[in-house]
Amino acid sequence: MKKDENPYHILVVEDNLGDYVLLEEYLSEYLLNLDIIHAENYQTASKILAEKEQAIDLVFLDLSLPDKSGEELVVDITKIAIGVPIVVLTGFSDLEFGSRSLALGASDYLVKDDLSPAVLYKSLIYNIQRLNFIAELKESKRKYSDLFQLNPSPIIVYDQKSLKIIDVNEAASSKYGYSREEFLEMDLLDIRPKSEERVLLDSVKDFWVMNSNNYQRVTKHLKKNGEILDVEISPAKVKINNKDAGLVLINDITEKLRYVRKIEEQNETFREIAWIQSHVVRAPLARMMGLVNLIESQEEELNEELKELVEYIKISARELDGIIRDISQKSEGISKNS
Amino acid sequence: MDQDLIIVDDDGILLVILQKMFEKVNPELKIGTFLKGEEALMYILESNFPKPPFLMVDLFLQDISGWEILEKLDEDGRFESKVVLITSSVESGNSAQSSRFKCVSGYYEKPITLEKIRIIDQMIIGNRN
Repeated sequence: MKKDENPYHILVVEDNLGDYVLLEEYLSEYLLNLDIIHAENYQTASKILAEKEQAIDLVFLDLSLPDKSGEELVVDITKIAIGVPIVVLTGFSDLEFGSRSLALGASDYLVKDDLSPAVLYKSLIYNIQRLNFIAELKESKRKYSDLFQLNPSPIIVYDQKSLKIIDVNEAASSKYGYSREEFLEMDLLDIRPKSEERVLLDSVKDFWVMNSNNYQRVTKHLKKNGEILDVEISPAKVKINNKDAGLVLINDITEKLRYVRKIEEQNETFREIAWIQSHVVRAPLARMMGLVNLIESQEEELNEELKELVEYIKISARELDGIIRDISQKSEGISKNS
Repeated sequence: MDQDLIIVDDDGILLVILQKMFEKVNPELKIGTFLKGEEALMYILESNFPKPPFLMVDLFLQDISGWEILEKLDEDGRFESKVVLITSSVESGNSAQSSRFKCVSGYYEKPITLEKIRIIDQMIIGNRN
């Protein structure tokens, strides 16, 4: 038979030397790179676990040690051996307790009289694998929970039927001013201004009959302090405890809208300036040009010097006219683009 | 008084300049002037001209928009092709917009020069005969 070549670090907590030797023998039959540590009592075991927490892959634990035993022993060991599977070894006499130890945090239990190399090996592999799997599951659950809890955008989850809020993330609490507990007593209508109620009910209805996932709305939300937010909401359909729920991602666009309004106001001013350029500034200039035109028409009354001066006035006026036309054209372009 | 031409412009000096120009080009022309659009419009709409005069209207007056005057004149019906618009604006698009009115027969950007006055005079004479 081919031995398992993976390295294993096993802690055996057993005060009976005979039992320990047997255990070691059995384990060696299947495992080539076995590092086995022996502790004869709880005191030693807890020290080893505290020091080598990461290095130990599995603990075999005898239920009756000189310094601690039974329920207390299992509870205390599982407290120290975080992330390490614990397999409890029992005799026939406390078989019943074996199954109870699982509820206390042990991964498995074996009856000493039934031990064999195959049973031990199977239990070892199974419990190590299972713990890894549970750890992965926990990690992935934590990641998703972080995605939700630590998301910088407020997220509100509501029950489709009652519209009751069933979950919120931290960003939602800090944006709206309600604690998580307060939120869980509220429904969607509570975060809308009264005037928006109809709109909300309609848009929730729309969203749930729609098949597309691409649903976005701009609407108004109400904070605890009465302030109104302009928000862009992106809801998604999810199942929570097998019930339909809406997960709503909220993007506060109050500032953005304020900014847009400010730009619009500035554009309005720009349009006014453009109008002034185009009409008001040019009026006196056009008048002057008309006057020059009149003066020129009385040529016979002008001497050469005056004629020259009038010519210069004309050139200057034309130049100014050119400049005003340029400005007008540019500002017209701006007001058209806006 | 039976005018050949009524000029409406809120620029008093320009009214003087235009009158002088017409005097040069055609001293026999009888000209009435208005600084205020409302007054001008009331006079024009309420007068019983044996022969409706030619009109020269500034597009942007202080009290009333030139567009409004054009609308009323179109409603009145007596001034088809009898209005010349003048404006200090260099905004594009005004000219095209003005051509929608039946009463408009010309659009001139200021400055109004003697050359333009001569053309307008010809239109006035055409209107009189």
